[in-house]
Amino acid sequence: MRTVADLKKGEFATIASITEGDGEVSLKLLEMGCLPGCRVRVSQRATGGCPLCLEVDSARLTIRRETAAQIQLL
Amino acid sequence: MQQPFPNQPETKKAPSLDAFEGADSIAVEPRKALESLVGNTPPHKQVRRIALVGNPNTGKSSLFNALTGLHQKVGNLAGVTVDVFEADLNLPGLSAPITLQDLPGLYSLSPRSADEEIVTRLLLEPTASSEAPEAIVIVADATNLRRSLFLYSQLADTNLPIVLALTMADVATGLGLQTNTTLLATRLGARVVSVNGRSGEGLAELNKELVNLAMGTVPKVAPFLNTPLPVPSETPELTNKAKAKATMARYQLLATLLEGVQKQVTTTRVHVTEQLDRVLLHPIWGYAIFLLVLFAIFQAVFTLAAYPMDALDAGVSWFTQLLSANLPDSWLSRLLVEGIVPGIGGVLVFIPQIFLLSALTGLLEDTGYMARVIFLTDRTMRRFGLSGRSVVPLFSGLACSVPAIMAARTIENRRERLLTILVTPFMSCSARLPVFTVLIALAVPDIYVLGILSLQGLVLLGAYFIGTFFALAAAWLLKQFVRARGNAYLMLELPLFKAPRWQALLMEAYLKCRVFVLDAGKVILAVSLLLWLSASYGPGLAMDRARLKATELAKAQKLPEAEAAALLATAELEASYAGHLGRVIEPAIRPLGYDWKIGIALIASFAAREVFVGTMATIYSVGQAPDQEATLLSRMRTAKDLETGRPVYRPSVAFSLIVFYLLAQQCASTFAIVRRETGSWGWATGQLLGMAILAWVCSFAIYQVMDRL
Repeated sequence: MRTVADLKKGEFATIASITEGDGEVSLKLLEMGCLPGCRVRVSQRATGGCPLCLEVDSARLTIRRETAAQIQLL
Repeated sequence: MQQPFPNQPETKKAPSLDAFEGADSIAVEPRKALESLVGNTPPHKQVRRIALVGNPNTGKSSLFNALTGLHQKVGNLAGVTVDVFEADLNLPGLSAPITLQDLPGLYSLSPRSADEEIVTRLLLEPTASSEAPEAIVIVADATNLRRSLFLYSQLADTNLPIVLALTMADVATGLGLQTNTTLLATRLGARVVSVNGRSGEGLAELNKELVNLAMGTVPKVAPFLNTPLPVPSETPELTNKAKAKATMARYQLLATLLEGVQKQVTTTRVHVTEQLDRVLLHPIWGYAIFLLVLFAIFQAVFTLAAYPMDALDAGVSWFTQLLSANLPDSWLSRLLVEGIVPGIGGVLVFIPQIFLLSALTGLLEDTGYMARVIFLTDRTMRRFGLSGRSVVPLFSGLACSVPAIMAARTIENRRERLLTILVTPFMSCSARLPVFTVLIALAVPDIYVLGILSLQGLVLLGAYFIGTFFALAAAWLLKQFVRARGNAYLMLELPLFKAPRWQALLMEAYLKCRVFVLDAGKVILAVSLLLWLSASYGPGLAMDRARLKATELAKAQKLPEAEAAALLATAELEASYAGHLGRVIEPAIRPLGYDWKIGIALIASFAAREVFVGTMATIYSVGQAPDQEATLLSRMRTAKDLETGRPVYRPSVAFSLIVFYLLAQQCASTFAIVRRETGSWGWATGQLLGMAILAWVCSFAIYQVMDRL
């Protein structure tokens, strides 16, 4: 399944689900508004894709690659 | 369920409530049960402390400044050890002033970093601190309404009286978003004020709501989920899974409530931020600009701050001379001239640098650039076990480790935060600067390389690089030993770029200086007093005997008056308590090239390293006329080792000392803050010992190598 970590710069996608992992990061992602069904876009990618900047609503959220890989896409 | 409400009518209705009269007529399921309550909610009790709460970057601080003007202070909330900005406000209609607090920003009440944890405790466990807020104004960002209201949805489930302040409406308009504030108020069953901290729009209305909050006449907002929010310390078993479920439920409800509240009226969505980020976060240009910014700050802090520092320094020596010329010769005036005034002067001299560095760091944070720096550096910093967020503490560490270590609270991951705290003192703080200035003047010739670059300046710059190098190297080394706990994640919002709030920046820099002067000032004053006493008095008759012996020796050798006086002073110092102490530790520092006089300075420096210069001044001036730095320098330059006849401050010794002061953790305030922030004596002691050992080894190596060349 594709995740945000696989997104190219500027590409839009819709969140399908958040991998739970140890629970803390996924909770934080949800709290920051990364919910299933949300339309997101990777607006910036540092070299190697870590960290990357994810647009959620009109906020720009910087996350690391491992976290991005927890956000699964439709 | 919510606590049952006693059936009391509202005592007073504020005129601004009229806009919300339709509050009962919403058809959202979970709130239905509460409709009966909204109308006849009893007044809360009167409150005195009201806090601004909200997500980071919502314009909360700018709102706070607009509400309080220049009357704020740094308050230390007892019990939770957090410094927050506070201000007492006199509002019309209130008999006593209220205290408005600006709490650190947070996204939710399940804290992910130390600073969020502190705010969460204050809000959910008001008994945690006697100064916990009794009512809150939630600051919500109109450009990010859904997420701002998520925090609201959690706070609505507490018992705190709440008013919602909607900020950034102008920016939202620029993005083509239109917000229906009245509808929002109706849907939430809360009072909503649209306010702009910069233009002052809506401030009068918000002030009225503050009065209402203070008088307890704001009705309880409608709770969100029908269960009150659990207090974290009472329900540690509440799993992340349960919290995630509640989060989804809150967002689902928010989606319903927000339907139609915000409309996208135009499609001009590209904010200048997006264009700027294209350059500032660019893999090449981004770093180039970052380095340029760093360079500019260095220039400002070291070139610009030098002028006021020199002026302050000159002022202090002028004042000292004035005192010594006009005061009668007594122990009190000697204490003043030799102990207290140079001690206080030593603190004052740092103010320009700390002020500039705080103001410039504040500028980077305020405009939103600091978040970009974190984005740019995270990848590199992770290799050293740190986080991009560590850049802020490390950078602030160049001014002073104490606020820098507190700034590490924003780091989500415990290991990354701990490592940042442990290595920050390696960053060469401004207290080291006067020490380096004196030592470099002694060891490095005042010449220019390539005609423009001062060699002394280059050596100083080198010291900063070495400090940074050791900070990163130590972090890397510690990373191998410190167990990783929890997920090493970074979650950082890149805020919209905005113009800085100049007045607020200057205000905050001023407050930081004030805290520094008061905190460090106390330590330095105490140390210089103690030092002066121990250098002026000795056990039993030792001082008298030494004085007699020196006078006889001077007579026998027919020394000129000046030299006889110097001999007398040294003999007295050696016989004093301080001299005895210096002699005791001399064997430990001989291998580094230091004599017992430097030993005294080293011991004194473990309270605060900046006392080195003052100590030297005291050591070389006790019993004599007080000095200016120039004369201190010339005295140190001519000082000879009595046993070997070589100059005491030859380059090998001076460099060995520079390295020692660069690497040793000589600061009681840092020790105290590390203990407080890590919650452990172990880490604080380990840091102190580890850095002392490292400093000893490196100084030993430098001295032994250089002395043989």
